[in-house]
Amino acid sequence: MGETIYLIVAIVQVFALIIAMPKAFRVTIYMMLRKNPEWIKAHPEFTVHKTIDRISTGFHVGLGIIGAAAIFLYAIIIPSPDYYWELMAYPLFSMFAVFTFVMSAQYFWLARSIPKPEAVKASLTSRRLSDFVPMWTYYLGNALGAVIIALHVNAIFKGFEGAYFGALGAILFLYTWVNGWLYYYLRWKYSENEEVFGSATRKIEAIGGVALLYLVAILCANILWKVYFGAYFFAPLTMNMMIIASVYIGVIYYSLHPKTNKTLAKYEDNFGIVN
Amino acid sequence: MEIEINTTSSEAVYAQIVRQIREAVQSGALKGGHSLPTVRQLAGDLMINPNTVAKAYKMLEADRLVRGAGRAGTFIEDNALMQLELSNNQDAKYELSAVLKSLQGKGLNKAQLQQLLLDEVERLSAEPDPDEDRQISFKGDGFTSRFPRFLKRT
Repeated sequence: MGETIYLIVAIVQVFALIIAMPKAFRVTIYMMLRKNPEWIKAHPEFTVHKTIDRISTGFHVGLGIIGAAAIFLYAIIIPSPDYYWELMAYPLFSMFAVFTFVMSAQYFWLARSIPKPEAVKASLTSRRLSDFVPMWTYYLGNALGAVIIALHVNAIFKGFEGAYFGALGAILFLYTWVNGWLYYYLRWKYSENEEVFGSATRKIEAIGGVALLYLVAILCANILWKVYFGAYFFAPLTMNMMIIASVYIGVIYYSLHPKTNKTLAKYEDNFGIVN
Repeated sequence: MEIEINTTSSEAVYAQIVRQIREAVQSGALKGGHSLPTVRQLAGDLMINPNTVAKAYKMLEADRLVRGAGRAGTFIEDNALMQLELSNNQDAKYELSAVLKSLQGKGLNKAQLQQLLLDEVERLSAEPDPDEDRQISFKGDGFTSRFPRFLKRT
């Protein structure tokens, strides 16, 4: 039963990687062009956005193909007892890395390649995290993270089974990633999802970002529970699969939503089709 | 509520920010207690140096239009509109005084100056304007000020 669920989510993951992710990223790439639309229109030779889109699409489709090959290999040719890591976890971590790379490329390469326009508009509405969520929720989420990291370090030095530096690195990566996302997300002038779904979206995303801190805490606490007490608190299959499946369903829903397509079509009309 | 900065304008960028926030307070677009963006956010959005925004905020703070509350942020003062009127009146008095002194230096006496002022006020009053309280733009320092009431009494 468990292996069947892994397999179903792995197939959904392949669809998310090949169809949904490149499209979701294309929206964010177009959003960067809003910095100076007139200049972009006047300079058709400017292709940085097209290059980043091709890198993003290439990475995601490549990961999707590897994921599909993994399904074929581990589910059909040599069925493995370690389905979770082979089918789900490795592509998921690779996706985090791709996300970080593509977003960095957009921010540090694309946005900086477009010259500043003569007249620039800015909103006088504050976009601090405290404008969207009570700050104690953010501090508590990170405090839980600090406790988890401290307990994991303690377990490593005491030589507990299941505690190792790789897992600690993964925990640190997840917390850094969520905090970095929250920090830069709120600093961005244009929110692509705000453009797609309306003004309340930024608040929903800020709340989602803080909720992600707690989700990471629950995930890590579950690992620690096994390290300290010898068994998982939540069955990893149930919990991890629910989280991963909800993320993929969310991404697929986003990419197929008529509002996303409408926004993308609007930008393609203005700036030309990327591919 | 948005502000727009023009980098090719002869008006300094910090002065453009100050002027537009003052105008927003004056028009009621920014009310007391409104949380302004952080220095970094506004500087990032306008693609300018954070020090420029910090300078503008400091000027507004000195005028008591905004209050800095440390990490909590920068807020429009509750009595910002009243402060703005006071500040505008002071600006108007200062500028008018300078103009009057200059005209006195050119040989005009007090009676002539008073008559000139009254004529000018009447001429302005005769112009069609939807607002009851006429606003006069003092382009010298970029601030928009209400016409001082003491002049209307003379």
